[in-house]
Amino acid sequence: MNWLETLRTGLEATVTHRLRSGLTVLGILIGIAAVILTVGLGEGAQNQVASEISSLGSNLLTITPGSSTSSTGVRGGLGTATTLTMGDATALASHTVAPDIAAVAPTTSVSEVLTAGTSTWTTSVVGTSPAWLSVRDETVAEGRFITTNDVADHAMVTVLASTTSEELFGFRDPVGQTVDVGGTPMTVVGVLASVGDSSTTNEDDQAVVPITTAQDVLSGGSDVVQDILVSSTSSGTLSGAYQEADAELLALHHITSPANADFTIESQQQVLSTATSVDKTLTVLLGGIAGISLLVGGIGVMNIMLVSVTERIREIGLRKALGATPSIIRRQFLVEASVLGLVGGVLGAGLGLLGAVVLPHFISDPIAISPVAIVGSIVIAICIGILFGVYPASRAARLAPIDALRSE
Amino acid sequence: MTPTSGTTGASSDRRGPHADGAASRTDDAAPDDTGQHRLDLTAPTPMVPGWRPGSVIDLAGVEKVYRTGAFEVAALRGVTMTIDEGEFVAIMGPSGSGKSTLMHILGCLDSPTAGTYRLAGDDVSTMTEVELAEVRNARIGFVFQQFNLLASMDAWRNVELPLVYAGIDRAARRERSMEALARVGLSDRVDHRPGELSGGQQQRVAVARALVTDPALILADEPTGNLDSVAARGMLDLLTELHANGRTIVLITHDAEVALAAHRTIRIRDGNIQDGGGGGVSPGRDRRPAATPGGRP
Repeated sequence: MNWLETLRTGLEATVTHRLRSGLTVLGILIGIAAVILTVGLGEGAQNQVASEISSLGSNLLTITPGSSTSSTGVRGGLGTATTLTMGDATALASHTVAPDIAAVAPTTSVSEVLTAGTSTWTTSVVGTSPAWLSVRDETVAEGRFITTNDVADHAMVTVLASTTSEELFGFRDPVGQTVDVGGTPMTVVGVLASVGDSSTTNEDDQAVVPITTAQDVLSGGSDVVQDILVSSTSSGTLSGAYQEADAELLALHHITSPANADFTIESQQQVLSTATSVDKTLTVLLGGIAGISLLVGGIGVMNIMLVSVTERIREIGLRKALGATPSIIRRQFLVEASVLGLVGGVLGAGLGLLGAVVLPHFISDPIAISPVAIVGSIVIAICIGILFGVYPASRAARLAPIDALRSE
Repeated sequence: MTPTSGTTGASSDRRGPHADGAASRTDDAAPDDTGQHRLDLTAPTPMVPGWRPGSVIDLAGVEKVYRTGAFEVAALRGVTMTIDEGEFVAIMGPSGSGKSTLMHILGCLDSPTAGTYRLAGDDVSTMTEVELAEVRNARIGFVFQQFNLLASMDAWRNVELPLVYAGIDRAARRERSMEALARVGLSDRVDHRPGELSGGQQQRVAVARALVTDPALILADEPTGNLDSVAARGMLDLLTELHANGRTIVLITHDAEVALAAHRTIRIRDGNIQDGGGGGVSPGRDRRPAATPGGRP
């Protein structure tokens, strides 16, 4: 009896016992779909974080006030500490002091209500210098960005991000219009190009003003900046830029021990790895839970196959009486179990794919479709079928034909 | 048609045209040149020393002991009997007599604890499980009291089952199944499932399944036990007809009336042959009624 005949016999048996086969397949199906969806959710979250962070600029260092205790990562005094000044930013911008630093943008941001005619919109108003554009890897779609003169003149001008512009002016050209920023009228001089809205810290929804203007009218007229964004000349010089900024700021702040630093420098890479490691933990956790459901499905297969062996003792006995060897009987049951696994795997992958396409319309999180997870889960399903089919199959094969024929 | 030996002469007149492979086994020369056991089920059965030419079943001192916990139950206590090719023999005995055990051993469904059993010349008492499966497949056709048809399969698919295990291709299987079903008069029921057939028809399908491999022996275990009297009569007529065509048939029953259909009756009680086991020398061969109680001369 060749494999083709064995396969046909196994397929016939699964079709004959439709309800039972269907229920078994359901168990595997749910497990596989759960694995694909949870892995997809985890990967989707990782991809989202990665793209968000890389959209901020990969050569970017962010200097924030307050120190970070290296072991726990808890940062003291964020938001209240005012240790960074315009002077720090100016010093870092010097090419002789920091040759690896390409551009420096001191920023200070505050949430304000913007009014244009009858439209109002609350958004984040960022005060910064012209270097911000290159540091944040943004481009201007219309008009111009703020200039050095604007900063020097404390000019009442603003550059709107695309979403903010749309909310306030609809599809009218906002350049040259006046917008009321927290009670101060400012002239719109430009609009930033859209960078896409995949990120949660929406870069398409903000208004940029000269940092001096921001200090005057928004954050109370001091020399203090909230943070300093630094871009290195290339991704290869990022660590050089880091060391130069660190050394320079320690010197400027008269701090001798790096442990007492009153500022923190973070690269996007660090932010990225922290964020993705959290998501990875989540993926592993969810994957583990899904794996357990797959295991339960596998035990379901074994249970069904054992019931099947018991229920079909007479059939097994008859087949043996007619000349089936133990290995043929074993193969028949293995084929049945793996067919159940395969069908469950394929249907589960289908359901998982469907879920990955449909679910993001109802929840905000994206679900990545991973070919590795799909192929892997189908393989796992077949393996589960075989693994959990082995015991029932060998039990069936061991049955003595007379005992089997005698049973009622 | 060649009588295999002088001892089978009494029954030879009832044996019809003998077209199956068993005829070649009457070529009783050539003892096995190596003396070793060979399992070649397609070739004519090799001669084995000690084998009486012409006998299909040859039991010598067969014992079967079952162990249940601390108890040992002897189901067969040294059974010696011979059944020749082309015979129609009934094995009769009340329940508990050991006839079921005997049937299982004759059918290679179980191995004896002691003694030897030669089936068509080969000693099967020492065979492995896989070899026994091949012997059952090629040499024995079973007919059971419970029919034992697979309910999910058409009649012809049930009949082809032994051929599937023999490794015969699909087209040939279908052809031979059709022939076998024609022989039992069910050509118009080949695509019916067992559930759509009467009890008598189901048992005919089972007989067709037993015939399809062209076995040396047809072993019928209470084949009429689940049939009404009309269907039972039909079944016995079918067996008689097959016997007339040269088949070797062993019928196991507790019913004396059923045993009447056979030409020799072997009576078994308490694990021993009471009479009729002596092959060609048995007076049972002369088709006398087997219903006589209390043993026979």
